[in-house]
Amino acid sequence: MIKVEHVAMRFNLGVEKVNTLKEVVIKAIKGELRFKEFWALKDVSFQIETGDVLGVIGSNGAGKSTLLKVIAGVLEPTEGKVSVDGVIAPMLELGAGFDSELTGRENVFLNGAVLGYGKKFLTDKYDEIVAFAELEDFMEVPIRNYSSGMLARLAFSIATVVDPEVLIVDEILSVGDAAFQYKSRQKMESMIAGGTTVLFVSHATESIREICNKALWLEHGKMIMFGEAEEVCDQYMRTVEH
Amino acid sequence: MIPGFLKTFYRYRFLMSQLVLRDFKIKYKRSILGVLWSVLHPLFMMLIMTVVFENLFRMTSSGSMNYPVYIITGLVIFNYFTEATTSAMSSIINSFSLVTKVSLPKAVFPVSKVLSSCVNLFFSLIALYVVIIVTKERITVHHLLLIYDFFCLFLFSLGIGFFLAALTVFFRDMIYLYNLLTLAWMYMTPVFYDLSIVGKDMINLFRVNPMYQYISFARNIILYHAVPSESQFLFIFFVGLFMLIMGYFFFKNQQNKFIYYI
Repeated sequence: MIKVEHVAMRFNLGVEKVNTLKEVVIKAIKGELRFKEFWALKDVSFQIETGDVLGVIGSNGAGKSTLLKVIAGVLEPTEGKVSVDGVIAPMLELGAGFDSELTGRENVFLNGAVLGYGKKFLTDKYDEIVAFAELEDFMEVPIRNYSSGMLARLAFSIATVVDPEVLIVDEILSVGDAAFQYKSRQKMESMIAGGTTVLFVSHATESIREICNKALWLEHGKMIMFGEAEEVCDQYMRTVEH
Repeated sequence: MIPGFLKTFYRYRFLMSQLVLRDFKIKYKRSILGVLWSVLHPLFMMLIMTVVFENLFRMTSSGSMNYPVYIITGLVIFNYFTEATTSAMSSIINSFSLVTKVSLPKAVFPVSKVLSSCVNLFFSLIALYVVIIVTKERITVHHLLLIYDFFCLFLFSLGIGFFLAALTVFFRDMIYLYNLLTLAWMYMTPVFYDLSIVGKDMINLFRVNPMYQYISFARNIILYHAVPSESQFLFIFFVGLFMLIMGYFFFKNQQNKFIYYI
């Protein structure tokens, strides 16, 4: 179960411009050290049950990824509360911590450790990861020599080797070639069938209709609609087409 | 706060071991002599400084001192400190993709960098013992006390590393400032000269320098075959612990803001 209550997230725009001490001192003296506020999320509340598959839709910059990051615990919400039951597998970025100088094998352990897997778990599952990625012949090669498709396959295999209770996916179903896309789609579906709660961001309403039962529509950080996937997608498409 | 820190440390030990392993593998990946450089570097530094300061400038007061051992002890300790703090300083800004995309305790990054430097410390200790043996300096059982010295130095470096890592997120200028600061700090620390050349009015200022205390603790053991005084034992521990608590506290307080500045 995931419960999101009145979550708001504020960013200070323009902070990037005052990265140096000199500028901060000058601006502080001039009294200009004020940042433009930007609310990436505003008063978002919803609740989904175990086994639900939630699709998040909205235009670019609507706050979809920010919402997933807040739920994953990467960002601390400025206001509000998020409670999640169970182990989360956030797939916000595939291959987090990959180092191009290291071999495929070494990166499996490094990336696995970043994702919070234990040593024993990784050792046990190593063959499974490699087999799913179809990279048996390339594990002792530094990954700087991998193609981007190979990288994505390895990363996806590591990320999905766990059986998480909550899976957070940020538009990554489209990795690798057609065959691997099919395989990864199947993997997702088997996880959903196994009762995993899934949060899924996409621009494509078709894939949301296909795999989600609930949908959340965000626009400029505000919740426009939350409910059955079909209904929300219909409404969304109607607005977009106008 | 301290138990919380240790718990994090324990829970993420596998991740940290992986990060340390990565640093180690990357460091010498494409060099021919590889790991050997970790031993050769302090050796050559010592040779250069011995030639320059003993023969050209005549910096030492007593001619009977084992100058090569004197200098390499100081170098090994000061280099560890500089390397550990400097790499911890950029640890957060260099791992921005992990900091912004994965839910991890951010303290993992500076800690793993300071630990990585311990691996190099180990290799430079080999260089130290090569010099000790070659110059026929006596090795006593008191050498075991060096572990205590390095432990306290680890706490001290980690504390400063935490502080710098957080500060650098907000002010990138720290990288340049700190470079100069460590240079000044090294000249203020009797690494290659003897404290006896320092004037009477200044000597107390030099003595409160923690880096001097860490180095002098080791020299008391290695060069003078003595057990350091009780006050030195206490001083190096508490100054390290104090720095760690302060640094960690600062880091902890600032870490939720990192994400807006990276």
